[in-house]
Amino acid sequence: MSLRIGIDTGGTFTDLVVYDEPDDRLIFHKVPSTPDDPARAIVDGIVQLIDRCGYASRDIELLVHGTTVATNTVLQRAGAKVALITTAGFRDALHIQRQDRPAMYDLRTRRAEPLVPRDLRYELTQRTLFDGTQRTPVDRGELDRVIIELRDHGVEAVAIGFLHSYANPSDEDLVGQVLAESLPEVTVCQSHETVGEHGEYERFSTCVMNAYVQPVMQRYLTRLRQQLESIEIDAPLFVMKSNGGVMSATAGGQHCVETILSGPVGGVMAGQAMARLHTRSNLIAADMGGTSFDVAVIHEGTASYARNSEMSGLPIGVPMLDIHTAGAGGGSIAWVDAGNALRVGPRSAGAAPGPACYLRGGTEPTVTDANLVLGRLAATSLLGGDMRIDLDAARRSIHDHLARPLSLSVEQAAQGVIRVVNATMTGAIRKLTIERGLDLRDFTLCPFGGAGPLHGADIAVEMGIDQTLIPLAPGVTSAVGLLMSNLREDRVRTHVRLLDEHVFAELESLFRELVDQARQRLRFESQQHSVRCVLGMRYVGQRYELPVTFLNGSSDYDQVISDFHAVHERMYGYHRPDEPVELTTAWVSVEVDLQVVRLPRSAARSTEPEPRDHRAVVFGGNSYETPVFDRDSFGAGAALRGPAIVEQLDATTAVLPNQMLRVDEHGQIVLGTVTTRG
Amino acid sequence: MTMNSTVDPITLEIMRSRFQSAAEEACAALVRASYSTNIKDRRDCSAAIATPDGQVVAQAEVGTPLHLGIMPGVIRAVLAEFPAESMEPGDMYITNLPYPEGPGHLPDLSMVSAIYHEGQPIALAASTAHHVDMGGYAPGSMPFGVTEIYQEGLQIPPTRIFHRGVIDQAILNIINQNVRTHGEVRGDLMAQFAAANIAQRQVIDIVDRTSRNEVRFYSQAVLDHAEQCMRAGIASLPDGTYAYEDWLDDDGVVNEPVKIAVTVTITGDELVADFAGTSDQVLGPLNARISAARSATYYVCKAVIDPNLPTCAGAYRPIDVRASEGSLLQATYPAAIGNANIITDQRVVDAMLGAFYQAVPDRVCAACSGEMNLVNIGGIDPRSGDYYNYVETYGGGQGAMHDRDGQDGIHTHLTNTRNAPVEVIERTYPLEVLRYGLIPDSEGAGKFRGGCGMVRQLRCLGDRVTVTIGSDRRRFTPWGIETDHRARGAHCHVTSPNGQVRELPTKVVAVLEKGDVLCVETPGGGGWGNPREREREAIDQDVREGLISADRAAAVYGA
Repeated sequence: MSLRIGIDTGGTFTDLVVYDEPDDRLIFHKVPSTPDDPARAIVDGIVQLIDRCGYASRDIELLVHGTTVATNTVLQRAGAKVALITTAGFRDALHIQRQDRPAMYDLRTRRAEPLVPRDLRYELTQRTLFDGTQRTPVDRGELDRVIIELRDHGVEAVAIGFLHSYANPSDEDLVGQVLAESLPEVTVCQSHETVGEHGEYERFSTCVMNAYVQPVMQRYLTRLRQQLESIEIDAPLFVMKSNGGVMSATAGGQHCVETILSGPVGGVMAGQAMARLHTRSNLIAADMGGTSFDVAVIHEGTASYARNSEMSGLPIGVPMLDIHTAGAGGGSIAWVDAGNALRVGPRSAGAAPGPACYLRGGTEPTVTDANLVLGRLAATSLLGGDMRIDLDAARRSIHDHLARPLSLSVEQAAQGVIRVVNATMTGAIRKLTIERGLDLRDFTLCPFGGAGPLHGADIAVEMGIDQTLIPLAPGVTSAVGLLMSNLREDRVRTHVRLLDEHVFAELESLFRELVDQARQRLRFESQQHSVRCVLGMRYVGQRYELPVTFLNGSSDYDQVISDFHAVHERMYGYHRPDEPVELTTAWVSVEVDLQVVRLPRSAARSTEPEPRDHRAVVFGGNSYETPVFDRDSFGAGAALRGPAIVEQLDATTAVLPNQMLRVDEHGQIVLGTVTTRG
Repeated sequence: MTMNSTVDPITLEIMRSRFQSAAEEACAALVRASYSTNIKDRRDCSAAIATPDGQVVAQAEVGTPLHLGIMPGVIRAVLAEFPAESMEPGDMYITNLPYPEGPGHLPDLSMVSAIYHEGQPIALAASTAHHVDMGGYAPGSMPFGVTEIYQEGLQIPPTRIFHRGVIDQAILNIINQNVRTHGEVRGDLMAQFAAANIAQRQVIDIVDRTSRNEVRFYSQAVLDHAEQCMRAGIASLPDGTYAYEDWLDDDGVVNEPVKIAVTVTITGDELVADFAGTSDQVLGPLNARISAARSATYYVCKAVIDPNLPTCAGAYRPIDVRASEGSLLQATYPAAIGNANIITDQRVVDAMLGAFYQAVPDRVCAACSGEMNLVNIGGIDPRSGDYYNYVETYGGGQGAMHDRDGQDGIHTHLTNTRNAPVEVIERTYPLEVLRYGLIPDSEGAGKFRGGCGMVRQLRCLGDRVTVTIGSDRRRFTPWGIETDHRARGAHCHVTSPNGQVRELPTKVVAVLEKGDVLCVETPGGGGWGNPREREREAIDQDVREGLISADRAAAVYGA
């Protein structure tokens, strides 16, 4: 027997998904999270699962974990006491950041405090130039004095960040080695190992964040390992990264910053797997939860990547999936502004006080309240009826805050809330597609998360998307995605050159070096691996680069240049064939295939689905007596015509009037276009 | 507002965010496709969507609010010569001429085009971007030591540069011949062309999903909505008349202080900012047209009332900005105008906040560094033989508020540009950065202290270079509120390889030789309240972190 388990730790629940290979089935399980020690919920959940399904600990062959430990450490500023060693004259780089302020018109907003106070930022006399020349060597006497101070201050971690270390890391290596020998108990991180690119603030800050989180993360992973061993599980443990791949727990304890934005990644990887499985390879993965809407685009079977993001006001310069987040979720608060426009968000009622209908103290109307008023959600549909929600409270809140000031009926106001929040979500999708020259007609929309399937059909119609795919368990799609991720390592190197045939000819050896580095980090040498190389390119003089795929061994110079012109044309509507083109970065990603889980097949049922119930639901301003189905009653091949509501434990799917629903061979719901009955 | 009865509050919100998103995406494309540091790093640019008759419906600014009041004038200036009906699809018009109205100074080249839907102009797309050079007396086209706009650079009145998508080579040739860095200027023009394309793509998509009539109708509704929001905001301020004045050290030509006086009158839901009492126009390049004072006023209203107020023409209807012809803020052609953006306009904001302090003390801050500290270094790069031009504005200290310290080394008010990273400066220009950090003891003392100023030291690696410094507040240093303490002002000096040091004036064009080290120090921000009431813990932290010396902590803070 072989089992793989995906474990996604969230703020409220820890989701577990087991893939039972012999039986080809997925089993879902949810336990309350234990924020004081997230490992406890994981072990409890696994024990419950094993008991429930009659498995044994030894049946488990692989665990993949999506963790928020690093994220929470940064958000709560609960990391290690960390120091920075940097080039003389530049200790304030972390303090000044990029000189800009987070909110241009807001006098009260403050930028994020650096993770290292100024008195723990040490300067060393040393200097490397932009071309890698070492002009001034490290002064060992000065370094020894710094080491004494580090010891006196009892720092737990040290980040080393020297100017131009991406071009020549030898000074960082030297200081790192000396520190490792003199302060063996202290965590040491070097900026060039965290980020291989120029831009001192982002590189130093990312490295500092890694050092800040590392001791906490290592303690956590050690504890988790021990607790798993205590229930006799010694299967390999992998940790999800923000680049959509996984790494070993050992690596996860060292390159923690790579896990910080991994929260929404599992869902995107599930979307990517669906796109590869599906007839269409273009898919929009749209995760709508309580407070935010995370959207990513899978184009031709591959999720797109970004390199700059931030957490809690601090930059993170490591490759990650390109996920756009908008402040739109079930908890988003609707309000009327001074000019009488109906607005939704960015404020959210979150889980506490929560929507008005939760009766937990929230009085302002939210998107969830609007869905309840319109009949899309039933008072019994949350968590299978385990949670009490109150329709009257929702109606009262929408009446008092929206309908009365705008002179609308309660239903009109509720419909308005849905239209506005849907517009926010379509705006986010538009940013990643239309505005990048992608044609939405070639895409499938995949809405998931607790609130996604309620809004998916409307969003698809609004955007002219003719196919919507609702996964098997929309509320735990992120956990499923963990099981669909490969081992993956990215290396990016700043390499600014005028791109001519000579420079082009040297690329293969550069990429070989980067691939070797990546493979070393993966520690998986014997395995089959796949390599993807991307060049960052721009016209000489531009700053922002565009990605162009490089096929090691088969790309030719003319092809790469013309690919670049084509990408520029798609992005900006013009290209400049006579302008010289510059290379800026070389980027490799190496993946080791973990034989990822495929979606199990779902059995057909002989009977057509029968509604469990009927209720009045408002669609597009009209009320319909609408059949309500249990999703569990659907077999592969089932089909029906909307309007319909499909309920399951953690999500509700709305099917529009005259929209076709069918269930595919994996049990996923596929919604088609809205047609007029004829 | 006759149509108000039929405005659907839901469609209004959806259209409003679609227009805003169109402007933001156009602006983002401009930044991403651009060539010069000013745009790609400092993001000194903006993009707007306007009605065919020139009312700005949505505007996106990322690096500066300075274009808020300027964009309407830019569009009006183009439309005065070329009405929307005369524009064909693919036609793009440029201007950089501040007189009688237009951009703030010559480097801010602006582009306007019409967006057509089935043969009908449905909207205008506009962008303004600070180009790296527009010719004239010194690299960067923001020189000191000049007294007329003719010396500042090439003046381009509203002119059609693209016809049906094809650039007019003759006009481009004239521009190329007059600017020092024509590759960058051409590249940035193309980036503005990209912004226009993106704006068009977006607006057409909105029309396709609705209709031309709905877009026209809701363009007006969006303007009315913004007006209502602004009126409600102004009405929340106490009625009254509030006056304040502040001083610029000098105009860079005549060594005499220049006064900026403002009287803000709030009556119900309307606001008048009257600059009567401000100095007459000056010889040096600190003059402005009134659109600059409008930008500063709109900025202050958003900052003081509600930072999330919409940015469009409707919001400005209840605000009246007045300055008399021939005064510093409404100068007469051909007065030199190049540096008002970085100095005069910042000071207008400080003065206005001084006035607003009397109305809403909890919503204002003390004086910030009050200038943008322009550093422009141009010359031949010995590595390539090409002309280069490094331009950056440096942040300083932010003024404290009644309940919090100002921030150290940060851009304030009318600029929010990003710095050029040290590693990028050294790779791109023949310059070496020796130091980049905060200046201890430069803060304006107070119960809540102002931010510290910043220092940058640059060594010139190439042969002879021309440097323009545009700064202020050496004499009239940043003031505090409820305290007489002031922050340290702006300083600048050059150290030759032989060790000789010479102090530079705040506003100067100077020549540096190979090996010279330029040291630029920016002002701190003003404090709030009596420094002896500052919390002990906060003083200790500043001393521990080395931002305030132990001597100063004892003498000024009583620690």
